[in-house]
Amino acid sequence: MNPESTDVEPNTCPAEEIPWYVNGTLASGAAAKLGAHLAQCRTCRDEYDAQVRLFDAMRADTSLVFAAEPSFRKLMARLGTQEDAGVVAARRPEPRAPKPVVSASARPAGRVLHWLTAAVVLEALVLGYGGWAWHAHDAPPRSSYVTLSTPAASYRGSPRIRVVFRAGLSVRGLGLILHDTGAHIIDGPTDSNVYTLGFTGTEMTSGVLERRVAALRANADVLFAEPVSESSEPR
Amino acid sequence: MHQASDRQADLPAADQNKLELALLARIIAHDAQAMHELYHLYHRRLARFLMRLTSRYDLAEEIINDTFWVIWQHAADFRGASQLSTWVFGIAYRRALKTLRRVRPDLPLDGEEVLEQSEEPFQQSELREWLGAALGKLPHEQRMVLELAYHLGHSCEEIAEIMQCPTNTVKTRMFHARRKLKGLLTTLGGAL
Repeated sequence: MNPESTDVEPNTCPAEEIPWYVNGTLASGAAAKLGAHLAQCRTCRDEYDAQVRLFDAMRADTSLVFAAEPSFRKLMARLGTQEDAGVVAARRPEPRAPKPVVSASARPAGRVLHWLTAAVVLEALVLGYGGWAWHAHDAPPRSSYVTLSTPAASYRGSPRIRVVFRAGLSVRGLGLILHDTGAHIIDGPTDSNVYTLGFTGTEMTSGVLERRVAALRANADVLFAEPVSESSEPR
Repeated sequence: MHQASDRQADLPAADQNKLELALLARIIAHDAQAMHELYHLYHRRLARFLMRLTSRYDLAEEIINDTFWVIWQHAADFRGASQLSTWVFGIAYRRALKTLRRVRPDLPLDGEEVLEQSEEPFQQSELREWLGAALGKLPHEQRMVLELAYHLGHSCEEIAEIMQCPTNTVKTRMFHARRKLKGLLTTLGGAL
């Protein structure tokens, strides 16, 4: 401490805050206080000058960077492989049970065997039809599983909705809104914080679109929701 | 006083964060294009940060991809309590520590051993080269505080969150880093 002014008390130098004064992240009040201190404390000013030189030297060093795209491709391959492996494992059929071995002494008489065979065939037909009907009713029309290697969705020609979300909406909240409406952010935010939502893989009739707009408007985190008409699209 | 940080898109910090949050929202929906954009926004900063920490391209690349793997899987867990960059660098820092413990189990994480003088003479005359050599001799936690504050422009509070330690610890590490760096640069022939 080497104060040029006698009104600076020893041990009151806020020198520990100089690094964040130098990088511009110190809160404005503390920065103003430190700036005033620097004007009258030579020791701190020397320290500040040294840290500015260090700051400039560290930021000037750009030699330690490698290309991003090859690394990103490796990440894509890793994510795609892992997620695809998960799907394959989930779809892999159970191994077939070994055929039971029936000894000659255990075989029933020929007529009983015929009846049993007919019953098994009939049961298989009933189960097969029931399974098909059940799946046809409940199965989703297509998998919504997406990996990094999946081609980007196309929104060409699909309806769009312009939306303004409440300021301070959390990312999780935004994710829930998108999930509930089946929408994707395809543009934005604009200077006015307007996002454009798009939809894929859905037969979007005007009724469906209206219901989704209504659902968005009913959400307290959505300040504005309006379908985009073709005429309002920029050319 | 300098402008804060190393924002890649030359946007004010608030706008940059808003842009990144919009990308994260798309990543929650597993949008690969958003992942690509966020990856490129962060790659340069993370590469520089991790090269300082590991000194190995292969490890830095592995840690960057581990970090984005976590982001892809857990994007919805981000609460928005901090800047997105603080969250991302926190993940990268923790992944880096795990990786370093795996590949160099003898690594002193906050020790003094790395301050031993090298027997090799330093011939570089450029300040940056002297500085790089001196930084390499600091314990990694002190080096990271310098890197996060000076190169990446994080606040003291953000660094505390990234490194999961109190702000006073960040200030102490910065103090010791500065003091040791001054001594090392004098020894090595550079001067700040």
